[in-house]
Amino acid sequence: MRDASFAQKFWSALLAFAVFVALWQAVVVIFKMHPITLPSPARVLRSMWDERDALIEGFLATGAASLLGLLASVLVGVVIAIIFSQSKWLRSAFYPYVIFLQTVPIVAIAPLLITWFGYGFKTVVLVAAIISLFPIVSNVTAGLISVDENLKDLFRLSNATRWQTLTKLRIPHAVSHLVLGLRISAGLAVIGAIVGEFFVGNGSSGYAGLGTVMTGWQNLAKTDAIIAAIFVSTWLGLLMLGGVNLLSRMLLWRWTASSGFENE
Amino acid sequence: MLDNLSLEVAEAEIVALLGPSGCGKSTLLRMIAELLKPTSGTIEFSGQSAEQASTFLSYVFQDPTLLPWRTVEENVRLPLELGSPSRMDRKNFQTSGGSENSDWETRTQELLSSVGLDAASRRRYPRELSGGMRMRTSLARALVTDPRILLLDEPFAALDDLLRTRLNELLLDLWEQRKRTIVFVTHNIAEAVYLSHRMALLGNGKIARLITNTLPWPRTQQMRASAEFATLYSQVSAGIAEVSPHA
Repeated sequence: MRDASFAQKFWSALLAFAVFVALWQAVVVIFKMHPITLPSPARVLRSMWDERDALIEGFLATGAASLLGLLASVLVGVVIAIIFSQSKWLRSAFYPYVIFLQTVPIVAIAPLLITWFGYGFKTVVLVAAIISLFPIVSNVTAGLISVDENLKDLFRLSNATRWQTLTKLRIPHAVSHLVLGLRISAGLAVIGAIVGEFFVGNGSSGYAGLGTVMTGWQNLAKTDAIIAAIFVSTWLGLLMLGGVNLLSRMLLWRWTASSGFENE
Repeated sequence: MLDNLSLEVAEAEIVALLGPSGCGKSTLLRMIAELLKPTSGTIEFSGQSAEQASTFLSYVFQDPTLLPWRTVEENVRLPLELGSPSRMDRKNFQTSGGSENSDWETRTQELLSSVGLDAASRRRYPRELSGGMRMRTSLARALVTDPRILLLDEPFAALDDLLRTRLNELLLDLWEQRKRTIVFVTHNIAEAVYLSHRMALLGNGKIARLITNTLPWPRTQQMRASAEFATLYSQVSAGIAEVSPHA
């Protein structure tokens, strides 16, 4: 039953992709597109092969930056959320500043980060971390404070200490919320890393993520390579999401039969 | 909501709280448990204030209120793990040798047996259990600290009739073994008549009537069909109708 539906999902996704490629090819042929404006799928595929070294290196660099950024945002985000969960006053005092992180255009602070941390890996990781922090903080905070009233009463009646209520009730309850936040943040971390790389550029730093090589190819008008890199970034995003899904299944197997609505 | 209310409960007595919806039954129970503070007046346990006595008190909610990430036995031993060490000053736990952990383990296993949960279901998670088994777990958890007073807030309301009857029997068995004070809220008149020594009918924020239950002990299933049971039933039913706002 499960396997059948998995196969079905897989084939329908593949079919949709085939239709997309066919349409793309048709547009290129019918409108006689110049390869710099829109290269054909075959050209992109060839360019993917030709530039494989740069793409693999970029994939690894951007992957490492997004993963580290995500990890940092989880560590920092969970600590912030735990602090928030301990007092309503702290929440109302500092939550607005967390929202600030969400609303400030990352593009606006990127130059500042470069000034502080240089044209390199550190800045890219930081951009990825900042952009993926908010969903972690908001979801985990919600998880920590939205505990069932009866359960809180049960702990109160058992004279539970604040620490016990945190470690035995609030934190386990927030795990599923953390996973929810991770789902959103995993994709954001990749976006953050690539945006960070655009700013870092393929200068003299020697750092070569997908974003940096894309900036380089744009200057050389290698549209086919850029599109190839877009595909590779998409795979990176999907891989991160897959990793989160795997993690959520490992974490949540105890109290949920499924890990969510999109666990393909 | 409650006003000028006075109720005295004896040791090892079972009292049922009945009354129309919204009459304050649960409020009263929550006040006894100190989950709510009365605006005026006091609640005392053999002369001690609620604060001093809270160690001796357990509460069973309408929902089983189990932690989904803990197995049945882990849920049952939860109250033993909670509380500051000073609270666990062996008042309730007179152990002769053996580590704390093995003592807890024994208590947990004993209780699981007495509520009828077999070895296989003890290692399951709440989502894998039926409603009846979850409620049994909840009862075992409430009893694991060996409380002097057990408070139950419509504990069997969500169960079907057959299960309700079975769990009524279980509650009586547990009472026979331990002879603890029990105060429970229910909407089910038959349950109140079958389980209690006295029935307090709440209305307009007061105890409108206090009915002494004349059914002999120990209770048996046959009593449910007796004339005396029927008389008590209609007495309670009429009493509730009297204090109910006109529907």
